[in-house]
Amino acid sequence: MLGRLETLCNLSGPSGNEGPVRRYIREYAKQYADETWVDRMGNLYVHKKGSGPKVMVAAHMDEVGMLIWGAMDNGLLIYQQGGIDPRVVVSKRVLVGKNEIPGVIGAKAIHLQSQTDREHALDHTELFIDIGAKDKADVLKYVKPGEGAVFATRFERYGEDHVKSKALDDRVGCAIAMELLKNDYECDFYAAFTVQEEVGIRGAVVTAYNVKPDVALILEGTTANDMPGVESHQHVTRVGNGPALTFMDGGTIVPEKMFNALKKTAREENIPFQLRQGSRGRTDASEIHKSLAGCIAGGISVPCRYIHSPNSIASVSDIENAYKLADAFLRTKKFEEVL
Amino acid sequence: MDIFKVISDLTTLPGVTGNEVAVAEVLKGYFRAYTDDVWLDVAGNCYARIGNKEGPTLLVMAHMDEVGLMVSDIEDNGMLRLHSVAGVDPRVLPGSEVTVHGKKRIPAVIGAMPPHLLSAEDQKKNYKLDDLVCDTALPAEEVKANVSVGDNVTFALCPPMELKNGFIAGKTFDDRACVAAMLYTMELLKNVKLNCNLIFCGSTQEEGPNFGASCGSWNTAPDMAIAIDVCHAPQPGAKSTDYVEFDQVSLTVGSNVNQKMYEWMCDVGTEMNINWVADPCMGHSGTDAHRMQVACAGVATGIISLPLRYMHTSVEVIHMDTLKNCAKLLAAFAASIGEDWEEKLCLDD
Amino acid sequence: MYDKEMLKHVLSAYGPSGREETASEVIKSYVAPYADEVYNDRLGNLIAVKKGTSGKKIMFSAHMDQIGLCVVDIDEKGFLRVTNVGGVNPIISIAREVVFKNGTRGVTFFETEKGAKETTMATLFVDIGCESYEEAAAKVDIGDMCIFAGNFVEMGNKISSPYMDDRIACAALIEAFRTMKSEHDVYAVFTVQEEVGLRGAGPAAFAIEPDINISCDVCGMGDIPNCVRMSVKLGEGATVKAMDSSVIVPVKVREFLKNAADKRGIKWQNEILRSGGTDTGAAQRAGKGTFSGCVSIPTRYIHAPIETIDVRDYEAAVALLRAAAEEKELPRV
Repeated sequence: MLGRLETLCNLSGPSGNEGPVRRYIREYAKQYADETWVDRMGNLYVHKKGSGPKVMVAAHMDEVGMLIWGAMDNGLLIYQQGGIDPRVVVSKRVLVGKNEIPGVIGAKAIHLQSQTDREHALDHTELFIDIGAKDKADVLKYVKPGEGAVFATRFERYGEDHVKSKALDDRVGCAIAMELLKNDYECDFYAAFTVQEEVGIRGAVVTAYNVKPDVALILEGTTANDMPGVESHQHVTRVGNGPALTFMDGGTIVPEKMFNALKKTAREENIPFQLRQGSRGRTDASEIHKSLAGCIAGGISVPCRYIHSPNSIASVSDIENAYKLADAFLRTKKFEEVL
Repeated sequence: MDIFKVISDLTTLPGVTGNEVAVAEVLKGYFRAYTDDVWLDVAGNCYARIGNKEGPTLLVMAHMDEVGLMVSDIEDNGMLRLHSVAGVDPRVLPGSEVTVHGKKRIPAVIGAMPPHLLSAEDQKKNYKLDDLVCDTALPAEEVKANVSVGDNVTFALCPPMELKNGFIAGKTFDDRACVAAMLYTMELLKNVKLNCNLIFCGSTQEEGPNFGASCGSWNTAPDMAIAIDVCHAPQPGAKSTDYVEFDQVSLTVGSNVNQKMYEWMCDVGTEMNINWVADPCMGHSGTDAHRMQVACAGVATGIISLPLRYMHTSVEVIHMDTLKNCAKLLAAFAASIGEDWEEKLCLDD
Repeated sequence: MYDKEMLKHVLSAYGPSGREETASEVIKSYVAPYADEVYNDRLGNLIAVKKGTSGKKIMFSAHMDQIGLCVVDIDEKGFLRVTNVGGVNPIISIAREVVFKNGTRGVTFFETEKGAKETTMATLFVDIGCESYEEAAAKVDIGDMCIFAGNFVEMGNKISSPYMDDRIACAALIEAFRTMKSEHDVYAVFTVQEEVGLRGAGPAAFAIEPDINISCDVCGMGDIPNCVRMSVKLGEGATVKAMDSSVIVPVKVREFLKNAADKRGIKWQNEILRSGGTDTGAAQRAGKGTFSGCVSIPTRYIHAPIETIDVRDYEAAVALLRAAAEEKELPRV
């Protein structure tokens, strides 16, 4: 699973341009699936037929990223973005477009900055991508407006139990869902790999229509604020304390039955877990649970520090335990208890 | 087809978001010139269908609603207080002529506390909607007999005017100029044999809760959908990243459109020698396509935009040639839909 | 005369957003004897059906969930840290009494290093009288929700209580449902999760596919000292909603309600709710869309535990809901 996570994290998939991630997952999934297909938004479906309730696991393929708006006369690229703090992009490497052209985001040197400059946080409108082009005409030879861009940071192991990468949110979810595909569960099983989660939970809406699940289990990378100076009740989750179970976030209140079934599964199987102690942020569950006539949705999340930045950190054991918990939930047919 | 006359007819009708009935009635008449297959739905959308019923469905939407106001209270002296239904810029209101749509149409002006009664500091601030009154100058009893809380107030229903060099100015070009473009598209397709099932829709509530777009796409379950709307043209104080040039047809690229459909539309534009430009947008496009894309099983969407200056005012400006080019591109795209449409839209090759 | 015992019972039933089971049971006990069928859907919406003969369906909806607080952490001294469930204003939520589903009671206060006016959800806490983490954790789990306690106070024509929003509308729908005679299939839907973003009404409307939905909710007013301008006044009747931030009600639907009221001499007033959304919008946009309107009960101090209404408006709302059900002709495209 970690090998696939590494491949997934290193692929480019900003919202709306998830193609490379989708192709990789689909190619892998074919060997385990009865059918795979892609809808008109780009969501990927993997179906393992079975009897019993329809159970859908979902993970989003897109990562926070940029969209090239156009070029300045001097050959720098103007970009739009979704969900990125402008303070983390200065002095970072990026990969632009289908051909993954290397570029950098620079800013005025410290020597040239006034006191006000030093205190002022640069906004995205003041930052540009430099691919080394001579001028506007030159840069447009390589990059077209509307192409995507992502951070160029690579996946790495940190010590025994940690990984560092861009896009852990939500390639960890994708990796776990891919691992689940190897197993057979006593239900009509779907894995939905969704698009455009980071730009407003868009793809998930139609996955609910296309699958019509009875139960949905959302696999996510979630925020961890376990840092010095942050009080316990603001941590939300802590890296290394096990997969996080959500009772409520900004888009979903997990039904008590579902929340309890997940806790029970973890206890029965001796899998460590923590609760996601915060109520902000949304996941694909927020749209899926209220689609059509409604369904039961819950989530298992992997805590990630510095989420939405070029480098986030997660724990390998959290990822493995998140997989074990999802697997146990499905294997022990807990979905029957929540209906 | 006299496009200016169509625009004039359409923009002098009241159709504040949520109450587009008058526009739909007139649009039905225009649609009937091209097809008998014309109908309304629960959201107030107005549809016309042409082409091959067995073919893939392409839904084209331009919204009929306009930004506007509602009477929120009636003062003892008969002056009206207003609430913005959607999208009204309160800066343009003071001194404006409006029409109150009560039991009868009543002309009125928007008044504000005169500047000489305000402090120097307050004179520099914009008026808020709550500071303004809508004054019919009628006796309070007459106002109360004819006007209720919840009645719409629109900009005065002035016809558009022609400016120099093919530009025209008026109210509600956002988005009834594009409704006119839709009709011109039907004109262009009059003698064209279409392989697709082409549904045109004057939609409702785009400026508000977007009921029209969701209702319309759920009821027609299209395979493809195009929103035709306005975008910003160069105007004082705007940055170059905010607008496209007046003579360019804007094609949105980004997550709210299907990448393959976008490329297809670009190819059609280029073949037709139409001056088009990519208009990148990362997330919410602010058009009907936002709801259309996620309706039912997911819809391949595209967005064509007409550059417009001074959006949401009573003096919106567009260029007639660009409007025609929007229609030409739309017509050519519809005509280009053949048997191979599914392969063309396939996201994973 | 209204059914005061039922109203008090409904007002006091526990049911914060997403945890409405108790409230649902209470309401069910009042509607079941008058219904042909009662069930909860997957999200927990309570649906009571009375069969008609016209082949048409009229849906009424009132939300049974309520705002509250949700425990996110317990500190070593047994204090609870919380987050808001729905639109809770932290400043007016301090110095309140709260109660959990299991009866555990507590009081709220704020970190006094800063002034009360600077209170945010992060600096508000709940004291349940415990001295250690262990003692507190034995009574309350992370993820548990509490609601604000308060009293039912009668002040002439006015009554005040926590959770008039939206239990007063639930009570109105119960009273109307018990006595209404309709040719149409009537669906009385007591929805979940309205306070956290209108999440329950859409799925209910999607499944029922009504010809029309009439929501019943509370709305603000403009008759207290120096408040945001609004035409609605307590005692002037139930309201017929023109719009709020979730919906613009079609003129046809507004006229339908006004005509139903006028025929029977029911007092009504027009409503434009200046901010906030209602199930009206969620029901309208579900699936292929439906006609959707709303009857509101003017309410002072919404989302504070002293929400105040006028009994006469409540009775007008009951009458107007019943009147809508009795109308033979429903709005048509």
